[in-house]
Amino acid sequence: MSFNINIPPDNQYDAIVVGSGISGGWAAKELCEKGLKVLVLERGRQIRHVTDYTTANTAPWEFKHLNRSTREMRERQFKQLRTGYTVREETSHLFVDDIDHPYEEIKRFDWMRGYHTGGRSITWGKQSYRLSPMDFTANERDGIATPWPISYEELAPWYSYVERFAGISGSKENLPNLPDGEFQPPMELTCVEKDVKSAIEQKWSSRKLIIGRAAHLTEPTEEQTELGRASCQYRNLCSRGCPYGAYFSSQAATLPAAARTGNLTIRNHAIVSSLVYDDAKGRATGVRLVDELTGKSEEISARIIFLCASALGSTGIIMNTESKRYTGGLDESDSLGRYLMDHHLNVGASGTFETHRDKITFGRRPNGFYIPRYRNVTEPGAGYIRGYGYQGGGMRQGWSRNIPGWGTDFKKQFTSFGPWGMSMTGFGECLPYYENQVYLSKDKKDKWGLPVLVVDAMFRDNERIMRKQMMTDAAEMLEAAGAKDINTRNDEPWIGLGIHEMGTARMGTSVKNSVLNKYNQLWAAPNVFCTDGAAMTSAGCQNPSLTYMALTARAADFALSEIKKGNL
Amino acid sequence: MDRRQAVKTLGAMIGVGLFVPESLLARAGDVLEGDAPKATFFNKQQRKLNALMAEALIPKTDTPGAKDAGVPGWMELLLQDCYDKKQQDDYLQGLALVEEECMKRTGKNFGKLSSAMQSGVLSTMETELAPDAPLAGFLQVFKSLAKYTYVHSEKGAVQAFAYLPVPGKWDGDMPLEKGQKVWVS
Repeated sequence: MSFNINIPPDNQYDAIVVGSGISGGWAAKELCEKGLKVLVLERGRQIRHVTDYTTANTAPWEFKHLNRSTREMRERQFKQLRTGYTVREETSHLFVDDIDHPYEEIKRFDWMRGYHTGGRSITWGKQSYRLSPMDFTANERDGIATPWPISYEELAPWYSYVERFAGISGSKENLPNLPDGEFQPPMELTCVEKDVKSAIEQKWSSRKLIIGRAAHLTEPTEEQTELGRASCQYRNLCSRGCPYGAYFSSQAATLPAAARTGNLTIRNHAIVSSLVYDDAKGRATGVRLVDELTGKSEEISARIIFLCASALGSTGIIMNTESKRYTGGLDESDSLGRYLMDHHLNVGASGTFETHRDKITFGRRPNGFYIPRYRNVTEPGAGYIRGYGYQGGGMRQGWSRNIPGWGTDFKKQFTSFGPWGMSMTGFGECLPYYENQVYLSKDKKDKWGLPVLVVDAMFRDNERIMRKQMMTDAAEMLEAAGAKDINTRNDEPWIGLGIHEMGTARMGTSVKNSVLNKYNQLWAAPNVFCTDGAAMTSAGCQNPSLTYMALTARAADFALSEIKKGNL
Repeated sequence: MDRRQAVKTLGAMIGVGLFVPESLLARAGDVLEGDAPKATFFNKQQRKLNALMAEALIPKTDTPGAKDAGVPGWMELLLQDCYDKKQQDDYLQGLALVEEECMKRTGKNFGKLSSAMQSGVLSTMETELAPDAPLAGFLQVFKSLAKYTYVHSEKGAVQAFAYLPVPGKWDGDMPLEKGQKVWVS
């Protein structure tokens, strides 16, 4: 695939999209398909689909260090690998250099970033769930933060729209607390997962264990095949980039769809620093950027702008925008930079099973099971609001299990299948707190002279109390299913571990309570839309990317209708 | 590469994925000849002891042992380039403790024992030492690194395990046939 990287001299575009990750890719596709000339500004280098997935087909022994992270990597990517599951030899090049891309943290905050074409759409977890009707009414019901300005029903058709294009595999379950989508055939549960499912569903009538809903093709549509995408090959090497285009990424799906319209231009190494704001008109005339390689600043104008630079990236741009009317960014609600959320993990249980010793799995399923939220839905929570879901897997243990002894007996066990094991991890909802914030540093700048972001956020009492039940529920469910050697965990969580940064430029019902309106337009600049995680008014406990896709497609559709009406 | 061509080539890979010819894997390994690049983390005695211990953990049977799989070299390289200073120091200290404990228990240097006795004395140490003893901790660190490098070495992955780069399908409930090796990726 090749994109037009020649910039027309007059810099005249109908739309600028800042960022090329999940949200930016969708904005580019939708706007290009509607006939706009679109410029995507990506702050990092280019990564071409397939060709630049340099480790996609590397055998373990072909990695210089057998795919371990090296001390040298840790010296440059000391924050990127703190989560423990991000940076190895196979993926190091898909995460940023922390020395070149600093941020400040008042309390521990892991900010995993991929500055390159496709952003984190290459390394994302691919779990894809809709928010439910109760999630959109949660803030209003609980009387906290601010109400969502949209209902589930308003977003539902857009969920369907993005699911059909992206390709989500999953099972129809008809659950009110986790709406079904437009699914490709589900991946199969393992025999042990099926047993645990029956045991749980028998004991707790309103709990369900279902196969994860994941953005992997299991039965590609004609449209997906035309874009060069194929079915999942069950390698589970996804985070290296998929040579089959089997999971949804900007490279595999949205960018080629945008490119084939002839309306797409992608410019790499373009770090957008701010909007160019016209106080008299009350709108942005374009963006200001710094070229990553030359350090030169320039301005590019466009009729509309989509900010899709990731939650904190987009918020930083809005904050760094100069205006006579607004100080500290385009906001008069005191919500810009506030209400940062993530999901809290690091809590759950694991165990082993004595059953099914005559069964194994074949292939490597890049997906697990899901237990949708039931707390404060059908069963009360013990002293907290909102709730959690679980993600996990039940697989036969392999070589990495603890094996006693040395010599031939050890080797025999080491090279044989262990018992079936299962682990489940809670994904808990985090409330939007005013105190959880990001702001621009007054004195620290990065190498391009741009102020670095300072993050000051933590999980608080509602999350801490919730976690106790997240742990005990997990153990009880494993116990009910006959698991042995059950271990529980509830390790201190911190914001960023979930890599689900949400909020800081939330949607709301009025200019007094939010940065964005119900169509993701900046109240202060109607020709600027922000459709990434920054827009989230509450977090739900579901993985959020699918919601960004739906919000982006909906906002792009609205933008076009406004242009046609002459309003933008 | 033209995208359509790339997809076609990969399509062919899907076809052969289920039955990876040995020859193909052998060719892929030529680059490294199944052995690790040279590292200079150990002194001569440490290198020898580490290699003997690796073979005592994973001896040659009908599948390659640690030495044939290049495990000692890989271990040294990972220790040199991936471990932090403190972990490196602890590791070298651990090797010294093994020699000391071996002398205490057998009256001989580790290298003077038969290979059966080498495995035996390490097994005994593992069973008898208090779990919080530094040597007990080291033995687990050693095993973990030796296992990892063996599984990820070409000979270990391909001959002692079932290395399957492109499964092409998923089955969550498959009968375990006799002789089926454990999948690795």
